Amino acid sequence: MTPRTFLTWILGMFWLPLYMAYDLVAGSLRVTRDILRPQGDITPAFVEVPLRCRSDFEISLMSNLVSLSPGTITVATRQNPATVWVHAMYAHDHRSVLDYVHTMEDQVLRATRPDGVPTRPGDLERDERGRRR
Amino acid sequence: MSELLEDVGDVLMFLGAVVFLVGAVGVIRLPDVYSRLSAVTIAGALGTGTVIIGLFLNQPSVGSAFTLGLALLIQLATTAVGGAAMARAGYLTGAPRNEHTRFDDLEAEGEQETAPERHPGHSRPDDDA
Repeated sequence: MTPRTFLTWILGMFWLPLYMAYDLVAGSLRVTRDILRPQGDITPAFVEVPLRCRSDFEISLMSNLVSLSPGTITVATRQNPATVWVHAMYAHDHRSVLDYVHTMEDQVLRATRPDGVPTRPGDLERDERGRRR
Repeated sequence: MSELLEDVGDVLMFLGAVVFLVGAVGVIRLPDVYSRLSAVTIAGALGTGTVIIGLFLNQPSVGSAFTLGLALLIQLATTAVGGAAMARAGYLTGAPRNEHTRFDDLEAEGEQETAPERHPGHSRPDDDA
């Protein structure tokens, strides 16, 4: 733990609620548009997202924040290895959903880890139709 | 000054009510269980949040800040947990899904592990089994 990561940790705790408020408003506007327009462009999918979270607190916080943001909802969670299955309303491909959840996870880990955020994992192996191998 | 704050609070409370209305319309209009739960999240989290902030501006004091902050925190937590529980229940009971659904990573998981209670939809803490 360096002074730099310590400062990031403290700031991360204050930043997480702000980020979630932004995410809540932005997601609500997007879903509201689809509710009020006659033809929405909803392309849902269930996506498996591997997480960097380790402790129970991190995993449950993460899966509940995913549920809290409109447009995505946690369908299942696994502890070891930490994984959430996310139902996303706007899943144009795996990559976009993964990036979205990993961005949120960055904010969570910044607030829970005093010694810095680990780098993002890659996507799972998939065949050309996007199914899990 | 306090009158202005009261007016802003009134407007926010009205906006919160409108958000609830949008959520209610969404529950009717959206195509499947999971996206309808998102509409519930909108009403439960953003709607309640806006109403509570409006209430605080209407009656700004330390006491109401504490009460309303607690109410908001509990509301957000229960919305998230309840939403996830309903989504899992929907998946496990095979609720009909939108025909545009692109892919389902959970399905592959079910094929690999034969025993239904090992499906991650049933996930429990490992030492609980």
